[in-house]
Amino acid sequence: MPDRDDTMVLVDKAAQGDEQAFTRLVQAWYKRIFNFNYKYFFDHDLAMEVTQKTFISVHKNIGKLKNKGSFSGWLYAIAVNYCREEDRRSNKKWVIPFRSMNKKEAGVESFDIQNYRENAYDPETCLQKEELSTILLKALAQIPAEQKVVLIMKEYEGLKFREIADSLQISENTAKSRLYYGLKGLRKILDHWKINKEEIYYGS
Amino acid sequence: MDPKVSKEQIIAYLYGELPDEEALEVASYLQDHPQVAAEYEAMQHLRGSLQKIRDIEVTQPVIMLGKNPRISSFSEIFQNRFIQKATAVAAVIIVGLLLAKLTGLNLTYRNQALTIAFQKDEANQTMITPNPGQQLKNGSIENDSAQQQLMTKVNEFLMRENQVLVQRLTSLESDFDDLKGKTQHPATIASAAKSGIDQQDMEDLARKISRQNLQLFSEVIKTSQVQQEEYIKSLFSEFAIYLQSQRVEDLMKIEASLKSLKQESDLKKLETDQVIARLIQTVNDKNY
Repeated sequence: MPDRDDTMVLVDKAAQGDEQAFTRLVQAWYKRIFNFNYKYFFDHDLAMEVTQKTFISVHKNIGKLKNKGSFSGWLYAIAVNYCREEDRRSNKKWVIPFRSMNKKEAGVESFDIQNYRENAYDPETCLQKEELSTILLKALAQIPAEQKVVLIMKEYEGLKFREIADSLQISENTAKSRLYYGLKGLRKILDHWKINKEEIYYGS
Repeated sequence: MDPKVSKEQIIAYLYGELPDEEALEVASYLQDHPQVAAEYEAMQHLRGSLQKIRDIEVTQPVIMLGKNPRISSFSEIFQNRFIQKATAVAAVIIVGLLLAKLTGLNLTYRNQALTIAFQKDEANQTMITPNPGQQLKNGSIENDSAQQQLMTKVNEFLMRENQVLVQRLTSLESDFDDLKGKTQHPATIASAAKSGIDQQDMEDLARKISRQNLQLFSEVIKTSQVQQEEYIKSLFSEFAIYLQSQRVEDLMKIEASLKSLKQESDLKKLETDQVIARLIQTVNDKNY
């Protein structure tokens, strides 16, 4: 996490139009925001795109930021908004893998979504082939977005519950509650994939 | 969960964000409730495992910044209240002048009276024409005697001009009469016949020119046809080359796809074999 005082100085300068300061600000925060987005989407290209959108928005609006000390929360709020926007957009798309298409009846192509969901992820094979972190990221991608955001902010970005609540404009208790259900949900998914705690703990 | 300790408190305790007093309460609660303690422990394990997700390195793209519109010098200057007011006043004056020009507004102050008119004062214009600059300098426009003097001067000037025009007209009329007499003279007609250009010659010349034009035009068309043929030929040959290269490229892509498909199917086959082998082994183990 970039130094708070340095960030404040840079934000102050960038708000006054110092482009060098803005560049340094981006350098300091780019990796953090990219990794936040990457954990959210588990997709490199999408994370890159959303990160760029976030910093473009920061550049446009940094002059409007009144409390320079709340930059990190403000920055994460922008990133979260873009993540949600991307979620909404991708929910409208129907991307179906070619091999999942089967012809049930002659001349009619149909897609068995239930079958797709069950077969899309084979944990046993995955465990052999991929690293444990990949499994965890896949599990993370399965939990509801609002819980996932809080979990990433707390677990990886090290924000306090107060900061998370301010950033997402929710109460502290709501943030805690979301995190509780997020962890519980994650646990359930891993159990469903038959990945027990020993495997996770000593896995990698 | 016991109403004394909420899930929010458990989470805050898990992340070490609970005040000491409350933390002690939660700790003792967990000791008394093994089921909740097990859940807490599972969460701790999960937290430990989540730490295995490492940040990935990313190459930051080059930042190409445009000038921030909020803080451009022009905007800053324009945000000044005085500048804004001055600009507004200037704009009103410009619009007013423009309207005056379009409507032909004429303001005149004469005999201690202000006259506003929307058409040009023709009489005034005529009065000023001889020497308006000098008259304005002397302030003589407001003076009645000066006006009379000016009127007589203008009348004299107009009379003079009129006389000159009449003289010129008379001389032009006489010139025209002379010219008319000359063209109707039999000697002039005879000289034109002597030059040897008759209608037949003119027709021959026109025919010759049209023939030459036709020839030239056909040559141009032939040349352009040849050029077009050459161009189309070259276009076709280039297109054929392009098609050929595309075909080769497509074939290469298909070959690569087939290869990767084969690899994938081999891998799947191997995995299936492994799973079957494991299953057989499990069944055998159970039989024993």
